[in-house]
Amino acid sequence: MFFSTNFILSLLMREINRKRGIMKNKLFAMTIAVCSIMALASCDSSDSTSSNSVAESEEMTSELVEFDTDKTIKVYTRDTNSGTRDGFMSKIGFEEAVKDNSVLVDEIAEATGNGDMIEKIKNDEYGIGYISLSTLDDSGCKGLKYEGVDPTIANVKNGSYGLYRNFNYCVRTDFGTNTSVGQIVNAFVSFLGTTEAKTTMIAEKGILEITGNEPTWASIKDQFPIATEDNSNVTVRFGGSTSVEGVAKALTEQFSPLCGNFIANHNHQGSGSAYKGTQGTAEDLDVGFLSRELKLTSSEAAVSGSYGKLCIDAIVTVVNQVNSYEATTAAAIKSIYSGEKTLWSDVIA
Amino acid sequence: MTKYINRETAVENSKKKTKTDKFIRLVFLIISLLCSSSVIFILILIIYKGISPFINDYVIDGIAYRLNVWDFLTGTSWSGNGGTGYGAGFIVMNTIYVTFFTVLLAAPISIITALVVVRMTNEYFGKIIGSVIELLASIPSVIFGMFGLGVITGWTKSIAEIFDYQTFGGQSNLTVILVLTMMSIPTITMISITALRSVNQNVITGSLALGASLSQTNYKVVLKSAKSGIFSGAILGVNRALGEATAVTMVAGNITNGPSFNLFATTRTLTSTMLAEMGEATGLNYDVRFSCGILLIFLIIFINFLLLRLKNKMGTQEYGK
Repeated sequence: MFFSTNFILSLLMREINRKRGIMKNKLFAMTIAVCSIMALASCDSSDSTSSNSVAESEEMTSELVEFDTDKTIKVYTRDTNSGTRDGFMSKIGFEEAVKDNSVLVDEIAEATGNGDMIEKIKNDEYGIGYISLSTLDDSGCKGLKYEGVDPTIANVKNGSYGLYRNFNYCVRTDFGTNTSVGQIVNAFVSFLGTTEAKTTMIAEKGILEITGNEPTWASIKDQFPIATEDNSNVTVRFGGSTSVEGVAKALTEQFSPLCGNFIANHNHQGSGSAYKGTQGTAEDLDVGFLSRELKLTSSEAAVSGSYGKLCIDAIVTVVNQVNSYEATTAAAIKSIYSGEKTLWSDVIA
Repeated sequence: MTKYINRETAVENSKKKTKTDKFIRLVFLIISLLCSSSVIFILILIIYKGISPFINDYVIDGIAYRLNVWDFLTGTSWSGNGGTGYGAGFIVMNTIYVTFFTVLLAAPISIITALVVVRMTNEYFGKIIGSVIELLASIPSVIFGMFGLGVITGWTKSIAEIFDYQTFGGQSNLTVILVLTMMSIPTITMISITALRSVNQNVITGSLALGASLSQTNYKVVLKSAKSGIFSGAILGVNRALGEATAVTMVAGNITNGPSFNLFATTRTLTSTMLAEMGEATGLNYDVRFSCGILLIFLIIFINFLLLRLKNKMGTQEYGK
């Protein structure tokens, strides 16, 4: 690939020297630019583009890089408004760090979401952070055991994995003249309790039990006449937590054809935007999702009956694949995030 | 066949044309006023939301908070603790620091590139490089951010290891500076090319005729003649660096205290502070970002004022005019 693009470049340069009838300069320049980019892109990659070969190269990299335990622990966290941070700090017993960066280690870096945290940890062999369990698979990061328990769905269900939080939802209460949207939202909330919805949430790594007592959508849809209408020109706005985005999109994708093919518009900017967008000042959402509990204080005074629990999600402490740290505890994580322990040799036995 | 009109018809036609001209001028005036007033509306909104944390009380968990202006302007910690811990002083210093080094790096590269395009290569190659620079200018900020995150952080990490310094996966002042440099170079280069091309050809010919070499002519005559335009390009580059948010947020690391002057340490700028997880912010945490916006606007105005004063002091002497 690299040599072929270089060959193309040399042909093009020869044409410049000959000053023949070449195409217009801008198009010519673009061609050179594209070839240069292709050449650059091919420099670091092999010809194989399969995910297996990428995984193999990552494994080879991890084998080649030796992990030095005398290095400083590079601590990554989320913004003080993050629901994931709220759940993580609360569960490890570091409640004061939920909203206050001053109690954390001096040198700390912020990630803007689960995906950003994953990329940062993958790029930093000595980094430690936390992500939602639903994003752990295929992330390329190593999830640590917590209090001796592996971060798996089964362990969350049986209660042995303690680092978990609820995914919640809240909905708009005042739809004004937009009654169609209001009726679809009501139908969606009822759909969340059906077998079909719960199966979808489980498929998206949401943690919950199907007891067998849940209704099916077919058995309750008659209660919602809106479901039989053509809603293809009705847009319902979903948003909120980025951790819940995958589950939310799967649910709307499933529910839309069941409810007149309404248009589901997703804009997930964080748990804080869920209440703000549905019942707060922003008023730009119809259904908001949170990866934490609603505060139910003056800042999030949600109307009773307008919110509920979606499913459970676990939070996983993650490190780079080359890191030899395997298992952690609440006390150890707290000591890392508070700056009490700064070297990897302090925590790795 | 010649057509004649009487005097009255001619006067009437003239009056109609005058009325039409006046009407069109009025419409254009209204459009231009609307455009320029949008800047004022934006300023008013930013200032209205931005001063709110300092004049209104925000009740958080039953406690009323109001920010102190002096603490905000001189603070060295952005802890975001409910109603306190919003110090932007160190963020302003970080912003000035990365902008200074960005221009220090970008300006010479851009000027040299412009000189090569205009004076040191043939017309075909010059046009090609110019077109590539224009293409670079059209790349969105987020692409630069992704490039910074994916590639430049690796370079920074490697360079830091040479100095036995451990970075946050490459996120650092140096990465921010390199990313902003890449974004500023097209702007400065294009303006510099225009400035160099407008240098009087007679001046160049005269210099060469007097025995000056090509290099002497380029550096002592051409660049001096075009310095005003080149400086204008540098000012635009400064503004680009000051105002960039997306790319900086992706590679800065967003340290919570400072100031941060170590090239390999993480940093936080005004734009990254405003952008980071803004969607989740509510109440005081949301409005204080507008306060950072006010700071940014005043910083831009102040720096532009200084640079324009400097530009005027440098003079606008152009040889041959």
